[in-house]
Amino acid sequence: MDTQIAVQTKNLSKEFDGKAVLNRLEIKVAQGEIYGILGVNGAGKTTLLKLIAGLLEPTEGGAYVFGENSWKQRNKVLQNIGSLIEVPYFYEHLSASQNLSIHLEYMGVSADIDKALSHVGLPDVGNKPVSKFSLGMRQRLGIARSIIHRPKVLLLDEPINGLDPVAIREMRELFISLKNEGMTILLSSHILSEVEQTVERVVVIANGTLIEVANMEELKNTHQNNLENYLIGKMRGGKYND
Amino acid sequence: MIKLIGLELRRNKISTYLISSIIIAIVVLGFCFLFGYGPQIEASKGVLPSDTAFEIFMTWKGCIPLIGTISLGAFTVMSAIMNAKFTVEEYAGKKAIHLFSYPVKRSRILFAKCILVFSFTCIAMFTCNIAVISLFGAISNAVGILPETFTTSEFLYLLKTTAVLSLLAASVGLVAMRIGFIKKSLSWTIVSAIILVGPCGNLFSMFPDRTFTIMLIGMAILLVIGLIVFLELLSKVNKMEAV
Ligand SMILES: Nc1ncnc2c1ncn2[C@@H]1O[C@H](COP(=O)(O)OP(=O)(O)OP(=O)(O)O)[C@@H](O)[C@H]1O
Ligand SMILES: [Mg+2]
Repeated sequence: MDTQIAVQTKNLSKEFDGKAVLNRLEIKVAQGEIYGILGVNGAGKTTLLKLIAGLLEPTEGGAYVFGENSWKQRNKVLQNIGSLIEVPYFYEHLSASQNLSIHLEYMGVSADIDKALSHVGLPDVGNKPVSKFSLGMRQRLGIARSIIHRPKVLLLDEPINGLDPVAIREMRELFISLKNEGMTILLSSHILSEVEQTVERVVVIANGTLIEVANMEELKNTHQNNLENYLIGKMRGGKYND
Repeated sequence: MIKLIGLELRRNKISTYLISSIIIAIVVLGFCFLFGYGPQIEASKGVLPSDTAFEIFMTWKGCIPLIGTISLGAFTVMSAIMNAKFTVEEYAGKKAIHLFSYPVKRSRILFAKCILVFSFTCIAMFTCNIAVISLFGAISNAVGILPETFTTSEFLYLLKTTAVLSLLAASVGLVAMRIGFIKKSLSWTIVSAIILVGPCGNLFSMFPDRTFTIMLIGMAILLVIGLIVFLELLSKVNKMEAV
């Protein structure tokens, strides 16, 4: 084994009120890769990320981050995780810097807050209360918070929500530079173009079931002109025919 | 733990509750004058106060529990609001995702929140009630509102009733927090606190000779219930999911 497994799920299943939302999902994410999670609304992307972040208890199986069980050894796992799951929550009356500073205290680490803010394109808003932030600014701040403590694994649930095209490109470049520094990134999205341009491997989930894991470069080569159709077919859970 | 409490203070607006405490104190002082002058005004109209009303309004032994009960009501509601804001709402819905994302034992964070609200309630109510009634006592001594003098023995009686009532307010706040937690709702928390504290006034005045004993028993019961439900919640929070 040449690369370490950063995130792994084994037979991971989750039910809500007796209804299966994830079925025996098996994925392996290598350290330092950008791994996409693709699926339609309700496919189970957020649920998968929450299970990896130790926020949900698996009905069966487990999620592991560097070999530690996300639910049972939650506090060890959380030390290595940065996450932006669903809409980020902030202390509205506090500034971006104060929010980040409190975050760092809870994480038990120190970091350069101004640098983190300028990293995500929020250089001059440090003292403005978050209640005055636009949707995109909140999303940027959420991304800043997820990476400021230098986690080994970054979990991003639709990170480009509410971002303008300029910001989308900036964030893509940021994610790639983080990856180059060795960070492992799991990124969920239903925006195909984003996934195509950012991730190295992708898992397609439909109705909580793994449909396919594929290498993005290879997919692009094999389905040069109809990658979108191919992926949509997969996301629908069906087989694609030319 | 100190660090966690400090973080709670940094991210919640504690000044709101300091200001609220001061406002409560002013209102309670207003009630003091109302009750103090009430019998005199009645008497000037030719209405003679009944024996029980006389007992309550003209003696410090009657006045201190009465004013204390008003403070109790106000500080219990404030405690419930604090518990709702610091605790109940932070575990509701999407906010729980945030709170549960930190590599800190969940029970420690919850403990920090509850201990903070509990002690804040106790200290705020203790300080305000003692300050207000002592001030009223001093004014009464100077200008003669109540016929009785406010002496050291009255002050000691004030100290012990206020200590008991402050613990009662904080305990009711804790129990209300646990009830509100079931629905993760601010209004459930506040309504529970009001329902729990509502009968206190009647209970305390049921046996005028035994007021302090009744307060003590009531406080002990609610403190024990509060501790039990608090410990139960501490064990539960580790298994909670952020759905
Ligand atoms: N707390 C919950 N209780 C009951 N059902 C839930 C809960 N959370 C999610 N579900 C269900 O689980 C399924 C997967 O939800 P999930 O949020 O993981 O989807 P998603 O892929 O992230 O979708 P989207 O693209 O809309 O964000 C959905 O059918 C959803 O209704
Ligand atoms: Mg989702």
